[in-house]
Amino acid sequence: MTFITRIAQLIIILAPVVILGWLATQWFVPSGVFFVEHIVGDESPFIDELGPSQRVSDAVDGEQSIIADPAFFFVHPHRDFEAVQLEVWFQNEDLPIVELGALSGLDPEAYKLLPLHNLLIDESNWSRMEQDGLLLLQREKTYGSIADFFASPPSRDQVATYRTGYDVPYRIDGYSPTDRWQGIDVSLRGHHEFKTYIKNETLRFNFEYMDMNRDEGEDVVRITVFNEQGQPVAEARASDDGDSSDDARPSGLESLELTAGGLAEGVYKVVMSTTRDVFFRTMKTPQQKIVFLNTVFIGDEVGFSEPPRGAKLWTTTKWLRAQTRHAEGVQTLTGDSASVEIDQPYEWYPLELTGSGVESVEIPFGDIEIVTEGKIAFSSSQYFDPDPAPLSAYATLDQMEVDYVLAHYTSPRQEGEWLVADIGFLVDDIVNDEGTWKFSFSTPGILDLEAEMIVHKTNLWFYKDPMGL
Amino acid sequence: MIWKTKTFSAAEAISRTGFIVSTTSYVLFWLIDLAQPGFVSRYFSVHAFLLSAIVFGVWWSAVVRDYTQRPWLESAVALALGLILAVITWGASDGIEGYRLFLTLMAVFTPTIIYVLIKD
Repeated sequence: MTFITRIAQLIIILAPVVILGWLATQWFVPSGVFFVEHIVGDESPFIDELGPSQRVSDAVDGEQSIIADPAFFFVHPHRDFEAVQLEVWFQNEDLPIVELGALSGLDPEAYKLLPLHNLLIDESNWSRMEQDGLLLLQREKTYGSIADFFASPPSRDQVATYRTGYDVPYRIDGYSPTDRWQGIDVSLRGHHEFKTYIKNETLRFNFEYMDMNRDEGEDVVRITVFNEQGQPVAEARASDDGDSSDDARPSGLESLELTAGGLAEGVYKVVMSTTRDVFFRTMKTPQQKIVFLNTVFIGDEVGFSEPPRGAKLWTTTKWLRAQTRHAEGVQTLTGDSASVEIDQPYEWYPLELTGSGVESVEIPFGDIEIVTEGKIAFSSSQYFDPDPAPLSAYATLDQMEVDYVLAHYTSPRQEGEWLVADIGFLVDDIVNDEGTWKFSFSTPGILDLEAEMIVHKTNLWFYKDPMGL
Repeated sequence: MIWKTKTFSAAEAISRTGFIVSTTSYVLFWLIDLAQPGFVSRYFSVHAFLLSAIVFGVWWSAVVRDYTQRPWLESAVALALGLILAVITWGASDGIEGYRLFLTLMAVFTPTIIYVLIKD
């Protein structure tokens, strides 16, 4: 046999060995960094196409438009990693705020959102300074540095924030506690969060709720109180009513007491953590200030109250969205300055309030989910806003009547015709659903503005310990 | 007694090596991908090795000058292949309970039946 024949045989034998070695390096990632590039329209075993198809255009020549909110895609990492960095190449001319979120919680679904593009900041002609990822905009330049700003901070109502906290504590001048109990007679369905104010008093809440047993599974109720540092300071729990089936036989009216004494003055966050089977029918408390955060679900009152009580809410936010999931929930929401007809189930309807200050919205009956970026109270006297105003896609800086914007934000860089934004997530913050991560673009106002966001490509860097298997 | 070393032509040597390496690689990579789904199939189809085995096999059969029959080895390979096919069929037929056992038995004996037919 000739030398050439031997060489050919050697190549044939070595080929699968080399391929196996290459596959092993792809799997074990000995460098600690695994890179994936995905141009829209290309097939990839690691990143799915943007969807759903009703909210995105077809991918043509490496460009795909997002035309409704939210559009999402799935990532399929092939092994365990510790962190992931995404680099998104896109164009955006009209959307005030564009963010990308990783699915970070289920039931209720929650996303950890990080900024890609903020036109409110980038197109502002206010004085701008940046330091260590923090950005400060000033209507009139008062502070020479961000350190000066924190050394002598302005009052909270002068500051708007974006993706950052503002560590100047909120205090109500002239607040004094009372022993008079007041009720919130609204059916609240499932998980809710609210903030309350405590000064020289015991935090006390009494929750009356029913387990409607419409879905299978146990329905545990856990109420947790967090202080201004985000530390849990009190908790109350109730176990399932003993019926974990979906037979739709409601429990009786159960009661749960939450008490926490010796708390320092300040704002406390209360998280009502439970399933959608649990309907809180009334809340009683001597606390005077109570505002719900971001989402309220006014539950139906089938099997509890006839006729239904409905609800009236107060808010300073100018933009809410509402939907019902049943034909019985079709109704008209009437605000002081605007109203909206909920015509059909499973469709989100915007309610744009145009008045100033606190406005009320009348909800004739339940089975309505309301989502907003602001606060919601169920009595005008309970309303307070302990947080600096967040930058919103629905208000300009001038409309917000603030003098400063504090943001954790880095503007995207320009690469030719594309904007390029980098964001990173810890894998522990991402829900891993059988090896799949979900990422969602948040483009608030995209339908109202008839705007679009064009995506070109997404680069991903997956990070792991180089020595780890 | 004079021992004579069996000699092969270059084409036969290369095609034989190609067939054996391709077949072995096909089984090995397929088993690895079965143990760790996506290990191979995220990057290319494991069936590329099957295609390569067929190409080398056809080439080898065209250039082979003489061959030795090994009935015991051939039967053993057919039976082993039948067992592998049976495991796959059992796993893939979840949900068609009425036919599961029948299909699995078919899978066990199919390679042996084909082997017998080819031999005849």
